[in-house]
Formats: sequence, C-alpha cells, structure tokens
Amino acid sequence: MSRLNFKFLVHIDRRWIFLALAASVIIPLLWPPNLPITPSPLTVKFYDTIEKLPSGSYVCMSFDYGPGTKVECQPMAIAALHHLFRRKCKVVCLALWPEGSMFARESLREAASHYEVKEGVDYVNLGYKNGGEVVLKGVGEDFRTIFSTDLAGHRLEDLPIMQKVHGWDSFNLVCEWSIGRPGLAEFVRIVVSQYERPLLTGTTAVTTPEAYPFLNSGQVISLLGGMRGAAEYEVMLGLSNGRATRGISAQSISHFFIAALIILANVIYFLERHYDKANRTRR
Amino acid sequence: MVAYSLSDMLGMWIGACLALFVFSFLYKDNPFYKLAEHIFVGVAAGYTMCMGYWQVIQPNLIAKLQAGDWRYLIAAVLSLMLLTRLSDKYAWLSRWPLAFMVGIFAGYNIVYTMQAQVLKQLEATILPLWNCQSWQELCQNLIVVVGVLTGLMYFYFSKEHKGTLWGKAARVGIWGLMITFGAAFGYTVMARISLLIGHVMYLQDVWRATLQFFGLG
Repeated sequence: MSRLNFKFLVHIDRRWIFLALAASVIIPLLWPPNLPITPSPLTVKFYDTIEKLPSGSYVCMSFDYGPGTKVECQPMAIAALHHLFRRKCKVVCLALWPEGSMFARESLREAASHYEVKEGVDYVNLGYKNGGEVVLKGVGEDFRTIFSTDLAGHRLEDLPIMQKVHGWDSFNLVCEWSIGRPGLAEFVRIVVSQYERPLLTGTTAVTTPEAYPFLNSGQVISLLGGMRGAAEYEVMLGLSNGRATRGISAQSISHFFIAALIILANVIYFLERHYDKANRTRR
Repeated sequence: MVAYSLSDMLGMWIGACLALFVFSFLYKDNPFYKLAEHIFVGVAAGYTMCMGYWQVIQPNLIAKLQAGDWRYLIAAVLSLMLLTRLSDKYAWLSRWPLAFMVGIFAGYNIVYTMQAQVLKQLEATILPLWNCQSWQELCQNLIVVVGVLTGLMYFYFSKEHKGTLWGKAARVGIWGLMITFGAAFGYTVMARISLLIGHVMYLQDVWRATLQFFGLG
C-alpha cells in the first residue's frame, strides 16, 4: 500500500503554526473582511431586557475583571452604558476587582461623551472595595455603610444620583461583567437569591460555560459570552466602530484556522494508524 | 480626535514594547521576555499593595480609628496577629484570626450557596418530559435529565461501572462529560484568541496614535 509522507507535518516546528495563527489574526484586522454578525437569542434577550426598562431606572453595574480580560469585557460594558444612557437610566458603578474601578472610569468616560449626562447626576463610579461577597452583603441595605465617597472623593450624601439609592432594592436591574471570583457566583448568591434583583451578565469566553447553569435555572436573565456576545450587542446598538465588532472577523478566521488544524491533525492520525495496520497485516 | 501628550506616547510605547517582549517568548526564551515578566510581577504586586492600603486599610481601619470608633481595634489586632506567621515561635497566634475568617465566610456562604448553587440548580434539572410545548423543548429537557442522571451515575464509585444498565449509563455519562469538556475547550480557545486580538489591536492603536502625534496620520 503506497504511503503518503506526513512526517514533515507531524514534526513541523510549532513556531510556524504560531506565525500562521498570528497572520490569521493580523491580516483581518488590517483588512477587515466584514463578515456578517447575527445576534444570538441570548444577546437579543439581553438587549430587550434593557430596552424594556422605564426611563429613569436605576441600574447597578459591577466591573469585576482585570487587564487580561479587558478586551472581552470592556466592549460589553461600554455598549451597555451606551444603551442605558440612551434609555435615560441612572448608572451606579462599582468594582470587586482592584483594576475594575479604572475600567469603570474609562468606560464611563467613553460612553458618557456621546450623551448629555453628568457625573454625580446620571452616573457615578463608587470605585473598588475589597471583600467580594462581604461587600455585596454589606451594601444590601445601604450603600453608605461600605462606600462613604465615590472614586473622585465626593461624599455620597452630596451626590444627586445617590439620593434615591439605598440598598439593592433601589435598583431596577443589576449588570455584572465577570471573569471569576469574586464575580457572578457571588452576585447570584447575594443579589439574586437574597434581594431578588434581576441580573444580566457578561462573561469572558473561558467563564461562559460556568455561567450557563445560572441561565438555565433562571437566576441570570441573559448573558453576553466573550467577544462574540459583545460584537453582537454592538451590532444591535448600531455601534459599528465598537472594539468587539472590529475584532470579531479576526476571531472568526482564526477559529476557522484552528478548526482546520484540528481536523488535519486527526486525519493524519487516522491515516497513519490505517497504514500501520495495513503494514502489520501484510507482514 | 484625541490629542496625545508626550507622556501618553511614552506610556503607550512602553506598553507596546513590553507586549512585543512577551510575544518574543513564542520564538524562544530570551532576556527581553524575562525583563517584561519581572516588570509585570513587580508592578502587579506594587499596584495590589497600594490598592489594598488606600482602598481597604485606610478607609476601613485607619479612618474609622481616627473617627474614634475603637471597636476597629479588635480588627487591627486580629490583622496584626496574621503577621505572626512570620515568626516560628508565635505562628500559632495566626490561627485565631484565620479561624475567625473561616467561621465568618462559612456562615456567610453555607446558606446562600445551598440556596443558589445547590437547591436552585437541582430544581432546574427537574423538567417535564411530557406535555412539552415543542419537540425542541422535549429534546432539551431530555438532554438535561439524561445528562444529569448519567453524569451522577458515572461519579458513583461504590458500584463498579459494569452491566447493561449501570455500565452503559456510566458510558453515556462519560460522553456527556467529554462533550462538556469539548465545549469548554472551544470557549477557552475563543478567549485566548480574543486576548491576542486585543493586543494586536492595542499595537495598531499605538501605531495610529504615533502617526497622529507626529502629524502623519
């Protein structure tokens, strides 16, 4: 039986694969092919939940991610802020991760510049507090027990937005951008289970499978999963210059490339096995 | 259009160079990668310490003590007792604040974890297998019910996974687990590629900002 020689593929220097993968990401970013983006039912539900909020609703947004996952979570947060400001909602931001307050500031600055909204009146960044679950429980009845000032140092008593905010019951909706702990599980345990607040979440792709059980049980209304979820949401909001939309074509092409490599590797494996078996039978 | 200052440019270029240093590891280990790695560890530790002081110790302890709330002295003493781990002779003292923390967190978590992550999840797996609205719903419910039961059977180790019922059910359980791992792996690949895309986009932004800074873009 004639045998095709796959040795060069089996023993290929993996740095060639890294290079090819880098090309599959860089080329679509330089020359975007603009592949179509169709919102999934989860993204539509996420959008509809915010769309149905009455004007003037209070929404709490928690930024629980670090620099490593900024690329996935930040576009979701910015898009949601655009949506909430369009709906004329009041947004109270906090962070359970140290870098979260910085990302909240960046996101608010970017989204707020497009609308006539004022810091302290329409939105506020309370900053980071250490303690995870303890913080969520602590602010349950009154945010002032844990946060005495906002990130800029203004006393909460002096901020117009905080006049109607006491505990979790003051919010019509809670949004959480989560990558781990503290994060979604803590919000489900305290904010959903104890205070029965509706919760929307955006997770990185790695943590999305962990979030699905909460979705299935109805504890989370809907979720945006990874860059794909963010891009779909940006498309629904008409944010064509969003970072997730910019990156999603590169992601699709690189996924295609990885899938092709997996298929190729499996084909080679089965062919090699077939040839070995045939050789053994002949002997 | 955003106007960039010289310090903005400097910060961006340091970031871009460090990103490229880290990527250089893909070729082979080298001093530039080591430099970036050490800077990252140092900066992350310094940042976390500063945040810990200004966001936790200062407002939650020092400010309270300055306001005359002496109850917080108990917290201060317990915190200092944690540091006794550094001494062989007095390390036993650190067990008290640790016991306090374990007790508090167990108290906080047991009830809500049971409620949110055990009972509610259990409830979500009790699904109707008849009178469903559609075939799609029936299939979905079947997958959940069969997946949970066979998965649990696979993790039941007091009976050998043999025989027509138990052996085959455990086998279905393994298939369920494998599909779950496959989906999780797919999501992980997606996340890692997103990180790469994020860094390439950052490098792209730095390049555009540089051109703009020198009036070329």
